[in-house]
Amino acid sequence: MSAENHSPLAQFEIKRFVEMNVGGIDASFTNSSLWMVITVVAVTAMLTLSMRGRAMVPGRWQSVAELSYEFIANMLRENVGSEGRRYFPFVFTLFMFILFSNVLGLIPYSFTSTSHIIVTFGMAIVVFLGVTLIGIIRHKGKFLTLFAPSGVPVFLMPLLIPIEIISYLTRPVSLALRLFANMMAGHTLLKVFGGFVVALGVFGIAPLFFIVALYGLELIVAFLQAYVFTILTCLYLNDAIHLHH
Amino acid sequence: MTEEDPKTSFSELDARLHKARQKEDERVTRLAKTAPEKPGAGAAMRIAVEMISALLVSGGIGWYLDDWLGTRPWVMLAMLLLGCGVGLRNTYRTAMRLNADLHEGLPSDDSVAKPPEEK
Repeated sequence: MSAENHSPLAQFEIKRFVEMNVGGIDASFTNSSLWMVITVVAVTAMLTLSMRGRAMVPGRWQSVAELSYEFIANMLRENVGSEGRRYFPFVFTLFMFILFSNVLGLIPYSFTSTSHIIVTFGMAIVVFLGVTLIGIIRHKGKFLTLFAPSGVPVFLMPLLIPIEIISYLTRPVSLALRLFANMMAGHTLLKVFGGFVVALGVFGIAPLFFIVALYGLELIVAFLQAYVFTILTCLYLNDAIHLHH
Repeated sequence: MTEEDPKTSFSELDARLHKARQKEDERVTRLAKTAPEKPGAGAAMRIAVEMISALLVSGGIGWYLDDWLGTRPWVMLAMLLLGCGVGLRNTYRTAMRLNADLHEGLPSDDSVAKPPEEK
């Protein structure tokens, strides 16, 4: 680490490893891309290697894989119902990717790809467009009733329909913002207190203990944010499939 | 060992399996509903994000509409007002959902699937 890179925000800096330019768009392979690749490889390796034994009584790794499968399968069943089954691969991939990049980002010197809003927004917009398309394909024009709240006097409709539409449009933004803000705030805080430890010398032991606690909290946040992102995806999917708000 | 008709014993096993599976489903459902502990800061963050994103989206739409129609501040101002309304409504919904999760302990299926409506 170079001396001038002590800003708590330096950890979010994008470094280009391989410069690439596809049709005027900067598509360089960066540290963010590298960590996304590592995330995908880690998830794939964990799931395939742990399930290779296919034991009746699962070992530790196999249990982890089975638990995560069941966790998402149950989430889908509870929130979307049996029709949600076919979207399981997508939702599971989403959950594992976010969870792994959040947790891998907690390793010192690593990079948290989910701490960049473009990454989280990319995922959120895929969810948003996908869910909207599913709703339109399933219900055709009836999909628009999602924007008309039931049991409301007609003269309030001109006000309520725009509100519902904007509220619908805020979904990807709030999804992306929540994950990004949580990851970035947590990592910045860790770095700031890390700086205190160095600056205070012997008395740095106090912030050091605080960091240990904060690190635990960050682990919870890493899981919780993956959970929140996925469960909101499920709720949106439910809205699109069953059309009740 | 008394000989049983293999078919009836199979269907019996099937019934028992079905019952066990149902029980497990219920247990898992209950567990999943109570499992994720929400720290206070997380809840606050969720609520704040609702407000901010509503303002961002409506402000952004207003900005582009202004560009398009050439009515610089007006559409954006109107949209920001509307955005306040949307933000408050979303905030209220999220808060009510959090509240329901907190107080009921075991929320019914509905309260998770759809937030309580404010009429």
